[in-house]
Amino acid sequence: MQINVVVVDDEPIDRYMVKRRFSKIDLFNDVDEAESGEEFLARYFNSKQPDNGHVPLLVLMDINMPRLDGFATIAEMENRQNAGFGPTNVLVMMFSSSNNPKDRQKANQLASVKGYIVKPIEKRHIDEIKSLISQELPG
Amino acid sequence: MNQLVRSRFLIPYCIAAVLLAVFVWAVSFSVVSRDRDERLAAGSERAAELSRFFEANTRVILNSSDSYLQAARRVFEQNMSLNDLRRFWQDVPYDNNHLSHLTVIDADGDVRFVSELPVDPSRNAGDRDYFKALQTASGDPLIISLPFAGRNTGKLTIRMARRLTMPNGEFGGVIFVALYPDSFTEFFTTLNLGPNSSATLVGFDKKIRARSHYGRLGPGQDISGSRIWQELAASPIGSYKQTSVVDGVTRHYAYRAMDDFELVAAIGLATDDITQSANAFRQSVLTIAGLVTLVIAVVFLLVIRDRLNWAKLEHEIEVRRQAEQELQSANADLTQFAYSASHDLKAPLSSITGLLTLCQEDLDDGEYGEVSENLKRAQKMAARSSAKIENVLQIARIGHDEEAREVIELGPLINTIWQEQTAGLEDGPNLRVKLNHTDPVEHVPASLGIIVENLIANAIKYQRVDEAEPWVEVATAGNGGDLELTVSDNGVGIAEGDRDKLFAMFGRFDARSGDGLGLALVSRQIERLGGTISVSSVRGAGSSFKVVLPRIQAEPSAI
Repeated sequence: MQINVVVVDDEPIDRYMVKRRFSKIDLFNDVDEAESGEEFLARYFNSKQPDNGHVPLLVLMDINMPRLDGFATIAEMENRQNAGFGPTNVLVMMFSSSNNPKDRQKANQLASVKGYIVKPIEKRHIDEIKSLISQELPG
Repeated sequence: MNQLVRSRFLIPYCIAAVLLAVFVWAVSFSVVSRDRDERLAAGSERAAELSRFFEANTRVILNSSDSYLQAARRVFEQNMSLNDLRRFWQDVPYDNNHLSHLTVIDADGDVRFVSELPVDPSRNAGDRDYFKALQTASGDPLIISLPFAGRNTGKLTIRMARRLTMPNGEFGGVIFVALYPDSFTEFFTTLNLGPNSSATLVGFDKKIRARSHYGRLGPGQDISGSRIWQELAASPIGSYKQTSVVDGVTRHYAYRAMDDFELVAAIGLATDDITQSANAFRQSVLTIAGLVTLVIAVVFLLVIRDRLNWAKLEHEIEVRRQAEQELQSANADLTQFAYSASHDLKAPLSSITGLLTLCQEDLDDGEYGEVSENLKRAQKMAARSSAKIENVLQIARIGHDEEAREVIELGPLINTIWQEQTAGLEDGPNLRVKLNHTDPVEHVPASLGIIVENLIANAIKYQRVDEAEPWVEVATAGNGGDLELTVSDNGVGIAEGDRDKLFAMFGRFDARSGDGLGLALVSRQIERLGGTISVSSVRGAGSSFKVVLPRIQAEPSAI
């Protein structure tokens, strides 16, 4: 079974690079893109549990975005999950140019966030993601 | 200016000091004038009291002297013997403080006996008024003569004379005691009531017998012109106030008539003498008032110095507190900036690094398809990043460069900016310009340009796509004082929640947002120029940014 991936980032170049990196790995389906937190939430968490709710979803979440930032988006996502919306099997990795300890601390406080990638995304990050998925995502 | 404003708080202290001094002087003058009034009011009473004592004292002297005179006469008349009289005088001497001598004159007027002196037979006193009066008098009158110098003694004395009667009842001569006139007024002189006050003993014949001060009015002088005779006609005891026609002195007079001696005891207390003592009192009171004023002045100066120092200290503390606050705010800004920079300034560099890594890998793998495209992307990103850093530096530089103010024509400035911003737009909004300010506007051209440019750029950028007739309005107002500049649009408006980060660095709202530095730059420029910016907006209906700038340049504040 392949894993769905979505990258949430307002910078198209960063989204492009994620797509490039993931395209060569069989483990993942085509990378989906969202330009903003609002778009991501609307696409994945506006409806009740989908039939394929058990299909794992990997989210690469940028922090610094206009309007809703990455942390606010994740907080809202968790709210909607608790209310029975969207997929349950979600693994979020922060995806930011910031290596600021404040941001890392905030990321640690969110239950859904399992990792933190400092941009730019490189080959080694893909390996990290793979090992993380084998630990965190059942099936 | 600042010094003046800071000294204003001293005014209450000045007022308090002046009021206190005025109060002290008012009280002093009131005390002094009341004292003077009281002394003057007491003057007539005092004169009356003194006249009572004067009368009593005069009676004592006259009665005791007359008693001695009558005793001596009785001794002499028994045998008409001068020896008997001499023995009496030697055995019972008179009080020689008051009495000068005792004299016997025979019926022919020859002086037969003068106590304490050998008698010169050539002396005859038949011509004396008292002798002539007693020679023809009936009964036994007591004559009190005017003072005059004795032929035997040379002393100025008053004669108290009585008639001598022969055993056959015929006139036998005169016996008298001579009194020093000063005896009567000595008490008054001792009181030392001033040079213009006096005690006067005057006979019913209107001639002075004795007077405490011999001035213009001496013993023997006729004072029939005095008002006292009118007063006496009305009452034997009385008082009045009068300014003397002789010496111009105003006096409180009190008199008492002694009918049995045909004398009047009169006291005159000069108001000058009364006020003179009041003046001494006044001088001491005013001296004290002066000293108190001096003390007030010294205390006032000490307080002022203290307050000024305190105010200076307070001001210094305030300046330091402000500096500290600014520093804290600057620190917070710096922390915020560092945080933002870790995202906003680093992000494009990360992207460029990523792109270059991809290119490197593609080149290594021999996949050349996207290399060129990715290099272009990296170039574009680097250029954008460079521009962004330039904007940040511009903000950082605000307040560090001294820029000259110039007279600015707002109309042309707005039009130029409009042309630049709408260049290349096919279906841009309409511009409305409403200039209602009075010229001239004198400002830093670059700063004003940045403000107008960013506000207009935002207004154009955030138009609603579904708006058929988009517009941007630039309006001005203000005459002389502040300049009001309003940039409005009928665009998308600003959500309530987004107002906070509107002017923050790197604050962005959606894909249309640039690097999030425009309004940050605007607000810092306005702050620097001593102005304010406010925003009103209805989501979906438009926004309006209102800038108020003082035309007179405020002290430049480092931001």
